[in-house]
Amino acid sequence: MITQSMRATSAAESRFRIAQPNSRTRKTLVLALGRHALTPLAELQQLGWNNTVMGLYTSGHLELYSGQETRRVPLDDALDQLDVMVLLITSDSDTESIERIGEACSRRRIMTSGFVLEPPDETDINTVLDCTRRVTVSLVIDTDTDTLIESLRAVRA
Amino acid sequence: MLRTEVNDLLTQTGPGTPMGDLFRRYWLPALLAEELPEDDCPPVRVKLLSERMIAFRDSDGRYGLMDEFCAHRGVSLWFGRNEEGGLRCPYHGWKYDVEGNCVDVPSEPAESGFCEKIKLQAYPLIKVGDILWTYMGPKDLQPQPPEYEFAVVPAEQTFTSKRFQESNWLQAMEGGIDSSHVSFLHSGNLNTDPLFKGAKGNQYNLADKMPFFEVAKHNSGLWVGARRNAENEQYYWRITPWIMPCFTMVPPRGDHPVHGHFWIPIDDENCWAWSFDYHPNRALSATEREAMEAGKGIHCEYVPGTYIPKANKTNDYLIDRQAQKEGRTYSGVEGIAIQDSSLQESMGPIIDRTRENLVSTDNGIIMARQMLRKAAIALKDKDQQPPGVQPEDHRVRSVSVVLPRDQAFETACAEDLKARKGVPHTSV
Repeated sequence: MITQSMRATSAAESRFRIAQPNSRTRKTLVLALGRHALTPLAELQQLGWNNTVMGLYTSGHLELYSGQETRRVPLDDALDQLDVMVLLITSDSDTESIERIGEACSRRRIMTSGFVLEPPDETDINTVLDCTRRVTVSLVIDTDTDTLIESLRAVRA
Repeated sequence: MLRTEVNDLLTQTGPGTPMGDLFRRYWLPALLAEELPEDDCPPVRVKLLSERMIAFRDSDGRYGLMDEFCAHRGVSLWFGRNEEGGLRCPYHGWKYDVEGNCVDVPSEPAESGFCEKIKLQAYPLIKVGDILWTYMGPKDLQPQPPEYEFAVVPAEQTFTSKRFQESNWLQAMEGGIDSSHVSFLHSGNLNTDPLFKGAKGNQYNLADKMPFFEVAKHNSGLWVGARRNAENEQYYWRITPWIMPCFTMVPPRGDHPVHGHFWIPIDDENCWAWSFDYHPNRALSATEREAMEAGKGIHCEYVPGTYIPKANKTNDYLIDRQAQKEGRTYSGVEGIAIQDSSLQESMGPIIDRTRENLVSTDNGIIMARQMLRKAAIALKDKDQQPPGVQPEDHRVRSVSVVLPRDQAFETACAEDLKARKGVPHTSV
């Protein structure tokens, strides 16, 4: 007797999937938390993304980039309707900014992850790292911008 | 999600494919040593990376792995006579040694030199631990034998099994990197399985279903750390090493043996899930070994005489909806190995990754895919040797540990993550 599992898992059956999207576009904000992250951020801006905004947050000020334009936006406005927050962490990131953003995202239940773009053993970044660990659900330590790009692509940013 | 062309690149491992070439740079588990138990024993069919081969052990105890089919008329040498230092085709008596050299063609005069012009493709086959390993890449780049700790500890400290899985290797391996599923899919087993129960770490696992994940690259792969809350303002960390291209170790639990896996492509739609258990500094107890042989922990029960799991797609994995309802098992399927294989096979032979929706906690999977893709392309375009090939790359351990909140696992556990002879593993 052929079981349901046998029938359903064949290569032939794999062709029959509903050809409609199974998710809606998520709104993503990629935020540099220090000027050292502006170079990788500029690299990201050259690529095409789905509903993803890039910006810089330092000393309590948020700047969002759109093409050649830069506009200052209150943090609360930027977090409105946001689904995913990606923090770019470098040695010049400050813990106060990380905590503020982490707390704001946590309050709104926004999925927050961090990318550490400078090697922990070569820079004085450990305090910043500890702080980031407390406010994110995942952290990636990798100096390779490709990893960041690939991770954003993987989550459909 | 992955674009179709990247999915194809990562999942296709036949000869001449980028991932196939990548796999061919590593020593890979080919058979359990028990499959060739004595000199002149029956040969065994082996299919790896979409190549069909025959393995045998000759009269002098030498292992051979070569093209399955006789060069004369294409007969399978599985029917061969393993005798007097070679495998003889039963059709017309052509005979091959362990290196694939044809050493006898009875119908031709010996002085004709005919048989010297016949040679089957052969690969080295060596025994390290319970496993016969093969290397299918360029001869001049053959690395030193593997030195994974489970394979080099004394025999009484280690146990290895394998099971046939009807899915592409990658979707199986990704389950080994993604430890977040343990708190769900395997939750019913943490407090009941004899090879898991009793560890303090299990309680942290069950209590906190939203772990924080931290992924860091190392020379030959990744450390994937999962952090859960522990008492006294501390964190419980489970750290999984992934070594290129397909080796993972599960973080340990208490003084139980440590376990891990390889996922080796048979072809693009099937793989071998290899599972090992070992203790770094003591013999496995009779009870532990008995449990492993009975299919507990990460091992499984078989269809007798095969390495096919007893619970498989032909019997709907013996799913028990009542057990699911009562919470004895989370999915209704019994046993950790089959809980994994049932779900991974349900994705279809090769999952269409253009339709998946990954989340931040899948970063380990995302980074492993990226490392594999980059290494395959670097090998194809620049003939660059991939990471994880050398024996020193293999000397890693998984770790479970409780750390103060301000300590990073990469620094606090730097020594614990290395295999060290005779030193106990770090485990909670």
